[in-house]
Amino acid sequence: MSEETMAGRRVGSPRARAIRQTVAAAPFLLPSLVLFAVFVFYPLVRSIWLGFHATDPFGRNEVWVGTAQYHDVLTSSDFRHSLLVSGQFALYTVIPATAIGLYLALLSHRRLPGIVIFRTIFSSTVATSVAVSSVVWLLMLNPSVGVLNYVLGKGGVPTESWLTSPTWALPAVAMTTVWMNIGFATIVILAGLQNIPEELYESARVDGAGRWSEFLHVTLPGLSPTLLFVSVVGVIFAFESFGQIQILTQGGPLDATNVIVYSIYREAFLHYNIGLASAQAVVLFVIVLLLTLLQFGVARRWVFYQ
Amino acid sequence: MRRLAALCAVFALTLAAGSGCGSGGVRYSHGRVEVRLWHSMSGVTGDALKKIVDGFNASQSEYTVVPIFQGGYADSLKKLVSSLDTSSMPALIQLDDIELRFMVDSHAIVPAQDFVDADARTPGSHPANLADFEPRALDYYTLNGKLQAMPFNLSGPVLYYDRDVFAQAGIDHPPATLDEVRADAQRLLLHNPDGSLKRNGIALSINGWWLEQMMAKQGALFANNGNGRQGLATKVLIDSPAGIAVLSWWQQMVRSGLATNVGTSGLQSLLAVVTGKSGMAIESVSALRAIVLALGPASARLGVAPMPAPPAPDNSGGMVLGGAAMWIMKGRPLAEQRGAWEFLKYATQPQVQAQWHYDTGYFPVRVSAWDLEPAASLHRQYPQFAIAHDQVVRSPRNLATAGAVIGPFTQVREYEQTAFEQVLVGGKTPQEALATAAKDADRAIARYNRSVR
Repeated sequence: MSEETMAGRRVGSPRARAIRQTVAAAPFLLPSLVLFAVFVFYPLVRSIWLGFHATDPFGRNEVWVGTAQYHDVLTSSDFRHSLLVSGQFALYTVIPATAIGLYLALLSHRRLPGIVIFRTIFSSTVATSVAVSSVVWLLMLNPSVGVLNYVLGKGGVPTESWLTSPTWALPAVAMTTVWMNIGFATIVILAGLQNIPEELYESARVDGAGRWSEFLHVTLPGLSPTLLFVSVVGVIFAFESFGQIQILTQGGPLDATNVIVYSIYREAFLHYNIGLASAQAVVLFVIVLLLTLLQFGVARRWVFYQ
Repeated sequence: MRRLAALCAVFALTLAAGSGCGSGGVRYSHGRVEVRLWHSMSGVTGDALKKIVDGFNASQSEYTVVPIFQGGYADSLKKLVSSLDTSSMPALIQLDDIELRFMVDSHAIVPAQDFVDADARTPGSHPANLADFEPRALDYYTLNGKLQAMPFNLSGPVLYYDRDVFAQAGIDHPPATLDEVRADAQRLLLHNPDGSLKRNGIALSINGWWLEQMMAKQGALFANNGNGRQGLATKVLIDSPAGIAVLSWWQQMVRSGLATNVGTSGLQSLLAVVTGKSGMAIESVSALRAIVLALGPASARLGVAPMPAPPAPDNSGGMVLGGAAMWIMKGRPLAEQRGAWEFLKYATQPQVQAQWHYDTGYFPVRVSAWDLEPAASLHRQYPQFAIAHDQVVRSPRNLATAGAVIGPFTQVREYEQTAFEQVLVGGKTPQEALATAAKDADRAIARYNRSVR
């Protein structure tokens, strides 16, 4: 039902119209609201609540402890370390995945016979589950039987125990994550490319623009909302990464890959310090919220909406 | 199914009325009481457990045990904790040894002892013959004077070694002490023509269990208050000479290239021996059955010996019998608890245990199961099992070998693991690393002890 037919039937005050629209929208929104309430809002409220309470390891005997657990979290060197690891992890994953995704999208944004095959290949990692790709990478990174060390060895490059080295574990996990995220980045950027009007390129060519300046002055500005989206989502993905850490390194060695979500998991489900874990989760929520707002704030200067 | 349960739980909370979701009634299936068993046995061991369950279900008509694989022990425990006081809780759960204190503190279990005592009072019941149970297993799971859980699958660490490689190097018996391991490792080293290492002496994985076992082998306590068995443990004793001796050896072995550090995966160390990259490895005996099945007659090449450790001063040291036990949950109706207990008595019968041992390689819970078929034929075919078992029966029974009882043991193990990593790749001394680990562990124990009081 469009606005005009509703307005045409009965012209009311703007306020009455707003109410009517809300009433009409409610049944459509309700299913997702219910799901959000059950799986997002309730856990969120519960986490905040638990952050202010200490419990026994079984989640019983809640005792109000005020901000003590938040204080513990914010002053703990382990939490600061995890924050740092998460930040590094975001840096190592978002920039390469976006850059490679952009490159692959540009490559496959042409009219060529069979290009669909390449687009499918480039974006295929989006259809691979985190668990499956982590297990595949676990085998490839295996120091004694993995293909990576085999190839490096053949090429005369020194091999490495990727996942057991405190120096290399985080880059290795980041590399697998970049691979997983490339598919998503490629699809979204490709869609963004297809939304840039062809006339812009035509007039750029008429003005004598080369390929490079076409890319700089037409493609990039046209893609900027897409790139913003990919990077915002990438940062959120990075801060929420869990599966690959759990399968590849379990946060080790020496906490080199103990990102925040993993440390929350460890605190809640291995140590059963539920209140402390909840406080960490709330702090993480605030951090990701601030980061996202920051990205949107910065983006206002360079994102070009048509 | 789990999502459904979660939804159910949420509705129960919001409506504050658990209608249809309450933890109440007995579960029935085809007129029999249904006893749900959460376990962590997969593959070969999962099939073996299924065999026991089928045998029990066919042996009587009152109960049906339904085995449900819940992932590893830690995953299973996680699900148990979130299912406490809900209808999805099982009547019986298999959990690894170190959860003893945690499960007792949950107040959500019924000690196995209660059923033993009830059987003794009931004329006509078939009580479990505890006199025939492996006493070290009973020692482990006895706390506050009561048998808390029923030991089910028993294991311990052993030294695996390549017999052919040992023979080539002219070594006629496997090493018993850490010094002997070092000396043998030296002789096992093999270099490529270009001078690089083709084979190292021993593959070592990082696992707090090794430290705990090697301390027990020295007759040393891992935690204060009699390993937490004479009173609540408040401190770990890993920064003692016994602990430092272990980590110092570890560091020297890896630094000198005699050993390779394979990280936290124990199977990697076994793989190194099987593929000829290392001469020896330390791993749980529970891996032996799978190896023997995979290699067949070729597994004769794989030798097994007691886990080497620094010698105990006065023969007071031995192995801690690890593995897992079955817990009966208090939240389920009495009929289900009784069914769980009847199942446990069946599963620990000598004949059933002999088959279980044959199928899985876990040490049998029953002493008399050892000489029964098919266990006996397994020992004839693969003497490795008997050697591993020797290590168990030769261990003296005392507080050190009974094993430590600590609430947040998983967390303590993480700190032990960190100590290993700091020593092996982080450049700390064993003293520093163990002191830090002890401090962190003590803090975790204090937090835990406070929260369960």
